[in-house]
Formats: sequence, C-alpha cells, structure tokens
Amino acid sequence: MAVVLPAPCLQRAQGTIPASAGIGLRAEHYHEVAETRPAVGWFEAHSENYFGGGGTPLRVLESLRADYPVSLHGVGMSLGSVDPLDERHLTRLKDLIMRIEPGLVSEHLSWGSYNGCFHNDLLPLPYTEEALDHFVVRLTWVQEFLGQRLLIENPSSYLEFAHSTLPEWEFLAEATRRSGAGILLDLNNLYVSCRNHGWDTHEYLRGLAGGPIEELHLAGHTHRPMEHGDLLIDTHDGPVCREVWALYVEALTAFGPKPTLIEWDARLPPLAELLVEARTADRHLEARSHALAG
Amino acid sequence: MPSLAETQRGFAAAVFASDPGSIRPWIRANGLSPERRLGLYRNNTFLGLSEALRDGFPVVHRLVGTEFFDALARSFVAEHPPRSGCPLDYGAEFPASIAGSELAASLPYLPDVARLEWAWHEAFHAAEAPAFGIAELAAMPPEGHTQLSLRLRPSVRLLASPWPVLRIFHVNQPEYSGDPSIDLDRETGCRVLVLREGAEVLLHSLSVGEFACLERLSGEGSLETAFEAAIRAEPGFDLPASLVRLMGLQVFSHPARSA
Amino acid sequence: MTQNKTIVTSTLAAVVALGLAGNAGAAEKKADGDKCYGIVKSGKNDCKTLSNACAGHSMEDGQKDAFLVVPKGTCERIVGGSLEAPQGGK
Repeated sequence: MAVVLPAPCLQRAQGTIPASAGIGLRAEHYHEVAETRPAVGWFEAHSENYFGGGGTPLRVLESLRADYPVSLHGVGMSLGSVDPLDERHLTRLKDLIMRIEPGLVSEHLSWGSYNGCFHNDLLPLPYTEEALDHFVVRLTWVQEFLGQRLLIENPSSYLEFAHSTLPEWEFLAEATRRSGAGILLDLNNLYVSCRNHGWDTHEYLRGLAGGPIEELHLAGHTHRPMEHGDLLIDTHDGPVCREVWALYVEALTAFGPKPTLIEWDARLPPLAELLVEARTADRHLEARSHALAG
Repeated sequence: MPSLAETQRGFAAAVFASDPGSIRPWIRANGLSPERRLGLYRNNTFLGLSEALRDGFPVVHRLVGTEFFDALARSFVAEHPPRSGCPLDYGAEFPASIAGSELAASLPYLPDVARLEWAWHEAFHAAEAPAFGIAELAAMPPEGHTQLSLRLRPSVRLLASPWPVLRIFHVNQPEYSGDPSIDLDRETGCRVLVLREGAEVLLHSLSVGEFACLERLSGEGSLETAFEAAIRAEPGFDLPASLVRLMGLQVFSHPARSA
Repeated sequence: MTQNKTIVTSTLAAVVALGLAGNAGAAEKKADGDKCYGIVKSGKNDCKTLSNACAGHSMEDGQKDAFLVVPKGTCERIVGGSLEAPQGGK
C-alpha cells in the first residue's frame, strides 16, 4: 500500500530545532509517521536519501515539514578528502535545503572518497595540522556555497593514526572555531571511540567546554569480541546503553539542554519503541531545564 | 610522516585492493593488528554496499538467494566502487556487471531483470513534472500541432527484453500469491514502460509500435520520426488509439514547461 | 517533408477526436495487444531508500570462494529455454 499524503502545504511549522528529543525519519516508518503524526519535537532526515528530485521520499519529508521542524544530516560530502569537492552533491544538498528549510544541517568529521571512489563510510582522519587546515578550508568553502552554517559530528572510529598530533576533541573544537561551524556531539560515537582507543570520556567532554555544541546524538552500539577484548561497533541497531545515558546527563550538565536525536538505523524497532527512547531523553532534558531554572 | 593524501591513498588501497602495505605502519596497533582494524573498514564498505544493492534489486536477490547475490555484489563493488557520495546513485552498472559475470551465465535473463529494477529505482526517485494529455492537446489550436515537440516525463523508463522479465518481476513480488513458475520455452520477450504515477511506480506492457514511438521521443526525436518509426515497426499499428492510451497513462510532459 | 507534417497533423487531430469522444477506454483495449499483463505495481512502493552509511557493521563478511556459490532462490521456478535468447522481444 502506498503512502497517501495531503498535497504539499505552504503553511509550515517553525523551523528552529527545539532543545527536545527528535527521531530519525526512516523509510520503514513513513506510513505510520504520515498517518499518526507522533508527538515528537522534530525529525532528522538523511540528506542523500532525498537527492532524487521527486517521488515518495520527498513527498513524505515535505509533508512532515508542514508539522515539524526538520534537520538534515549528511553522510556523503566527504569533507575531509583530498579529492575535489563534488559540486553536484553540494548542488543537490543546496536544492534540498531550499526546499525543506531545515533548522539544522550537519555533516561529519571524516572523509569518504579517494580518487573519485567512495567508501560509503565515515573514515577517520589523521588528526594533524595539515588535515586540520585542509578541513577548515573545505568546510568554510562549503558553508559559503550552501549559504548555510553546518554542524560537524564526531565519528566512531576503529583505528587511530600514529601520525596524529592532536586529540580528536581538539581537532573538532579548532575546526569549528576557525570555520564558524557548530558541533553535533554524538555521545554514542564519543563513547565507542573512547572505549576503542582508550581515551577518557570526561577529558573529551572537558575539551569541548565552551564550544558551539548545538545538537546531541544518542544511539546503540554492538560489542564485537576480539583477541584483546571487545571492540565497539557503532551499529545503530539497538537501544541507548546505560553508559551512554550517563554520558548524556554529563553532557547536559556541561552544555545545557540541546536538541537530542535518537538514532536507530538497523534492525529498526516499531515506531512506538523509538518514541519511548525519545521520551527518556526528554525527561533528562526537562530535569536539566528545571535544575537551571531553580 | 605521510601526508593527508598519502594516508587516504593507502587507506583506499587497503579497502578496495586488499593492500594494507603502505598504510599499515601508520596505524596504531593498540591491542589489535592494523590489518584487523582495516579489515573492519573493508567489511563496512563491502557489506554496506552489498546491502544497498539488495535494497535496490530485491527481485534479483529473491531469484538467486542471499549467498549468490552477495557474491555478485562483492565482485561488483570491487570493480565499480561508488562514484558519488549519494547512495541513490549506486547500482546503475550492476546489470551490465551481472551480464559480464561468469557466475550468472546460467541465468541469461538476470541482467534484464536487474535493468528493470534499476528503471524502477530511477522512476521512484525521479523529479515531478506536469503531464501533457488529451485535454492539453485539445486546448491547443490545430495549427500549433506541427510545432509540438512531445517529451517523456522524468520518471519514464523504457526496457525491451527478449526474456519475459515483466512476468518474472510480477511473480516475484512479495504480495504475489499465484504460481511463480515460468516456462521460457512458452513465454516470450516483452517491452516495458516504467513510470511513476503519484507515489506509485507502475509497469505497463507496450506494443512494438508504442515502444518504437516512445524510444524515438526519449532520444529527443521529433514527432514525425517517432510516428514513422512506430508505423514501420508494427504493421497495421493504430497510432491515434495508442497515443490516446499513452496520454491516458501520463507518459508525456508538458513541452512548454519541460524545456 | 510535407508528407511528414501531414502525419503529425492528421494523427493529432485523430487523437483529439478519439480522446474527446470518450473512447479512451476502448482505444486502450485495442492498443493493448494480446500478451499484456497490464499494470504491475511493486510491493516496495511504500518506502525504501537505500541503506545509509551512518552505521557500521558488526558482522564479519561471510565471503566464500565465488565458484562454490550456486543460486538458490525462485530462479528454480524458471524452467526451459536454451542459453539462446528466445524470439519475441525487441
């Protein structure tokens, strides 16, 4: 059965993403979301899935935009690559931004292509001064091209380069400071990378103190046994774990209430289960707001 | 110390060419060998892209099963890594890759099934455009007809196959409940029109003449050449009746607005 | 040239006449031919965007030697046919 939607509506919800919980818009939930219009603060959509120019995905997104603020989250810009920036990709994103009027637009602190071949993955950068300069130049150029400030998200990673000279948090803080971009802090990625590389989560958060944290991500991960203990893989296929919730509380204390996305991409649960996770995040956000008010 | 470019070149070689040689010394072991760490990334790329292909080619997947599909997908990913950061673009060359694969040589209809699925995928995501139908044609002064240049709507795709791929597609839909058997000795080829109507992608069978006409128009041919091609391709072809049908299916876009 | 233009004007005039006479249904039947399966809607109309790169995979790639792999699916229900393409297509 196809998704039946009202004609696109010119009246739109306010665009600003509120400091409340949002959920990712996934194709499997299009029908239910379109019909039930769940009580959730906002939706985040993966930009590239709406690069087609027409059809059901864009209709769903445009129709949702009438009722909710929407954030656009990209995975394919390959900001950290030495390849030339893909102007077709950027033009498609710009068109989508004009069409959807998102409250936030985000990308990753990563690279994804070499010599024109894309890995379909968020690959780690060597955290060197050279990479930092390169990243800042590209990010600045892209923001100008799009006429849009970006948020940059910390990735999950499974290896570290021996020639890195900066901690990840310092690279992220410096890249966003120099380009005027904001930070999307993914607490699950932070936890996964810290566990995988033996970094200190508290030191990571302290390193970003005073930084432009404007959105938080929460997700589930998977433990994969290896010879020398578990490696954590950022699978987005389950509920947020206890340790990441604890980190969330720590981040809210450090940065104040921020828009918070529940990310769930694989082995997708019923919408209701996602909404339960979102309500948990909302309770933490409210507690933090009350603490600040009181 | 390797430059950023050397780091990325070495990393890409480890993932796509299974050659970790140049990047290995620059990865911290920290309890797990650099090869294993790079293997995780290689895994993510190959599994992620195989999954994307499975999503885009569900009938091919169903026809051959997961294990065989993944073998086809893996060799395709190795030979044709994505050329853009948009996953919607990935898979256009998969049908040709299947056609060239020795693995699938015993399933000669498989490449055309894949072509039909790619046409479906393109139609699903194509841009919208208002249709040009009978009412629009009737609203034109007849003197304007000679100047008319009809084009196909952005979601329209055409496919001709010597195999009954439309039937193969049809009986391999999850909701199909009839007998899925197909006898290639009894069933012949087909010409398929793929287009999106509202939110739905529809597949229609075309006659020889209709196919010839639309093929010319998709190649920017004029109405004269398209009409002539249709009549030549199918003796006794009822051109006006076919055009009425095609206009009813909303095949044509409004020439004034699609320029 | 003149003759070509005649094809266009006469055909389009006939299309308008036929269409406005409300014969579209009859015309459709006639033009449909004998081996038409009509409309096929696909079950994936609902949704399906492609898998995204945002998340990693925890499973190991179960790669086997390609020559050991045989198709095991509904292709077993497709019988007959030589490796030569049958007639009747384009």
